[in-house]
This record gives sequence, structure tokens and C-alpha cells, in this order.
Amino acid sequence: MKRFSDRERVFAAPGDRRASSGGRIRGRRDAAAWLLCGLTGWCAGLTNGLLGAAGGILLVTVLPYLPLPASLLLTKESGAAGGILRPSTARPDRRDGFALALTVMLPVSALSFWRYASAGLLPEGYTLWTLILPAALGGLLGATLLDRLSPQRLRLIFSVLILVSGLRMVA
Amino acid sequence: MGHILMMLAAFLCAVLSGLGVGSAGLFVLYLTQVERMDQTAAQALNLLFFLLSAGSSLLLHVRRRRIVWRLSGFWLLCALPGAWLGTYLVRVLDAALIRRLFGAMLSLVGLKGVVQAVQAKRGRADAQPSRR
Repeated sequence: MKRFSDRERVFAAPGDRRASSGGRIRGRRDAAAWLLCGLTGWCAGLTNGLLGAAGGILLVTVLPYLPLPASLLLTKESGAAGGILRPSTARPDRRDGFALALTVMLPVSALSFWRYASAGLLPEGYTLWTLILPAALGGLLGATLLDRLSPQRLRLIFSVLILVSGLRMVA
Repeated sequence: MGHILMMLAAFLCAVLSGLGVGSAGLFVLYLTQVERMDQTAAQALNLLFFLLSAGSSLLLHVRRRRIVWRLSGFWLLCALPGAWLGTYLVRVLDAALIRRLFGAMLSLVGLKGVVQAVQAKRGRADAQPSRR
């Protein structure tokens, strides 16, 4: 019987008999990780629905510190017999996390927008064409520049702007 | 003129959003501060703006990035009921309270951005060899 290496043992899929030693402890950790992970997703959805923004930022911020369930990090190994699931090489980095958050928040935002619109909260006089071209072109340009720029200074300026505006709104 | 200004603001916010600088709130700020729109109406328009800008940048990200689809799917399953509750709360809560909550969220995001930028600057300074 093939033995798991230490690294494979950590990432072994739940229910895999070959990784049985210490399975109970790992099972509890995995359950806690599932719970935390689910709660994070729920909070991101709540924030998106309530404030119309910031769900993705929550996910990106929490991702580096979140204990992720092992089975959620598994990817299907190409060419493996029977489609065996293997651990992915690493947890997502900041830029991968950003893309990951987008894949989650896009359908969530669609639901939130539909609920806002059906409640009659959408302002009149602002049609789709006002936003569709600038938003789509700007989004593409930003994503293209992400690999070429290190926008630290830009981030600092806008963070200060957002911080001051936020404090004014709270006060 | 108003529409042109709004298109320009949407374009700039979308570029920043794609760069990961953090568009959360920027467009809402523009709508509430410059266009004098209600908080909830601005949030609704911001969601539409996000759908358009994020949709286009996601096309590039999916090609270039490693997306853990299982994690993404699980988060989506958990986030949808949260969003449903959030949008329900928007209808029943006082608009002034939502505005304050939004302000608190902006402050936290801004603070996080400032801390990250300062840490990155320090990291670069430490990495540079000292000159004599």
C-alpha cells in the first residue's frame, strides 16, 4: 500500500483510508475550517447585499489567514487514473485571491442588483449605456495593467481618500 | 455634461477596480458626493457598475490566474443567502444607519490600505542594501 508523504498527509482528502492516523484531529480541524470558511462567504454576501460593495475585499483580506478545508484546495490531476484528486501546489496568492473573489462576487452582485432593482431602489435616468462602455473598458484596462504596475502609491492616495470620506460619513 | 462626467468617473473607478486598488465605495462616493444621489440608489448603481467592470476583467483573470473553483463554488453557496439577507435589510433599515455602516466600512478599507502601503514601503526600504 502506498504511504502518503507528510505533505500529502496534511492535504489528504477526508475519508481517504490511507491517511487514517491522526484522522480524528484532522477531521475536527477540517470541520472548523469548513465552518469558518462558510461564515466568511456568508459575511461577504451580507456585506455585498447590505452595502452594495466590499464583499470581495472581505474575501481577499481574510484569505491569507483563513484555515482552508483540505478538500477545497484539491484539484483534479490531469491524466490521473480515475480522476484522482490531488492537492494543489499552494493556497492562492494575493492576485489569485483577487480573481477568486471576483468569481464569487460577480453572481452574488447579480443577485443583489436584481433584489435592489425589484425593490425599486434603482435610480431613474441612468441607463445601462452610461456605464456599460466605461466600466467594461476600464475593467479590462485595469486587469491588463495589474501585471505591469505596482500601484502602491496609487493605493496609498486612494486609501487616505477613502479613510477620510468614510470617517466623514460616520461622524 | 452630467452623463459624460459620470462615464469618466465610471471609467477611472473601473481601472482602479481592475488594478485591485479597491473600487469598493469609490463609485458610491462619487454618486453620493458629486451626483447627490441617495445612499441606497448609489449602492444599486454601484452593483450594476461592478457587474460590468468585474465581468470584463474576470475574462482576463480566468485566463491568467489559478482559480480554485471548489473554494469559489463553496463561497458562492454561502454568500448567496447572505446577500439575500443583506438586500432585505436595506429595505427595512434606516437610510442614515446604512450610510453610517457604509462609512465605517470605507474607514476600515481605507485604514487597511494605508497600513498595507506603509508596510510595503518599509519592506522595500529594508530590502535595499545600506550605502556608506
